[in-house]
Amino acid sequence: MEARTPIEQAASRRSPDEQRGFEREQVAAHYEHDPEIFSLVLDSQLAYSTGIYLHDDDDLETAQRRKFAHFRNLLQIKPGEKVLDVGCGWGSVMLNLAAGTDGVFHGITLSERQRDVLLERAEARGLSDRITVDLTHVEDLDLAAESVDAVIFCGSIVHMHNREAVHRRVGDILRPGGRLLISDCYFPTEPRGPRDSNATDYILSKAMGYCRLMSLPEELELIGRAGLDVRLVEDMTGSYVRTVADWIDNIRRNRARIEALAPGFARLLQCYMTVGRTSFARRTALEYMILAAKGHADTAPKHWAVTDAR
Amino acid sequence: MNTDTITDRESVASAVCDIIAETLNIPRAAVGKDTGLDSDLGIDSMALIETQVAIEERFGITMLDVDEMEAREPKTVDDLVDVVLEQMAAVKH
Repeated sequence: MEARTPIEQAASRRSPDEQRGFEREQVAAHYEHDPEIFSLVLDSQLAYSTGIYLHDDDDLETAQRRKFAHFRNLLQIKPGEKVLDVGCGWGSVMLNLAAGTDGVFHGITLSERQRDVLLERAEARGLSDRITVDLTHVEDLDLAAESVDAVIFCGSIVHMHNREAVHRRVGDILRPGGRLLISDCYFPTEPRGPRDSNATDYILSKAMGYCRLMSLPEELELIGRAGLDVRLVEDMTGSYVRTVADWIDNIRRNRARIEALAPGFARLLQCYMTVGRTSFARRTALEYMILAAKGHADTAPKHWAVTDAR
Repeated sequence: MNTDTITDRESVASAVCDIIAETLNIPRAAVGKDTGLDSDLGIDSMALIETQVAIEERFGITMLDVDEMEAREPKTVDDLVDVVLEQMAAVKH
């Protein structure tokens, strides 16, 4: 896989162990900020990834609710099925899927604060018996082969450099019939601007710790090599432009409080989100949702239409 | 965040020069109202975004988005001050 940016090239010079250590430290730092800050920027569920906007007057809450409903439809989680959420954040996806299905959920995150918030929210919603959370890197997960029914990476796989190893692991732990759902950012296959600019470094390194944007075909190839079939790819780039614009508006509204909680962090958030919003609006970066499955899976086109619920 | 009310052009220009010097980490004396953003300071798109966000913090206004700013093509610090004053006026109305 091509290393496109200076930080990817630096990552390629580290051993896999060193890179895992780097990601544990650098990626976690962003998410270790006070959760109240993110509650002032994101929607009420703390979803730090794209929503799905269908109408001009959709707001952030509506778009994120629509995304959760869409995930439920795509994954078709049956009672007792085991779901692994890699980079589960504060639990927006897990909590919504747990509330809407009878699956059993295992989240992993690199941030202690995210884990603690998620466990508190699970307790408050009476979902603790079906939700566990571990503080670990996906490459360090100790799960048996064919022991998981669905794996989710929602805004998280971009933080992982050794993607081939990650996909091999997913292919190994998924049961036949298992599903993989990814929602994340990609570079266009052919560059549409410099990838070594200060703006690129600001968002991928300074703000987020570590990000590797591949092209969509590269990710799909790795999924295929791990033994899965790509079933659906959806372009969410337009929705991500609106999601980030709504986050920026929230920063403006709540700047004083965010500044009081973490001096300088509102500026960092607004700067990186402005770069991101511009990149997605100009399609120099792209946002996709990818659904893949291992063998015959009970997810079919009849489940895939985005439901126009508000 | 300092949102003390300053509206006269000289005060705004002085604050914008402070922000640019701080953002680029250069001596304050290197930035004046006739200083070229690109020609003298070599300000790139990231530095311009950081400057605009710092201006928003300082004045409690919403600056132009990246496309709008590129369309304006501000050449000098004074051109940027024009934008700040327009956005301050927009808040008042």
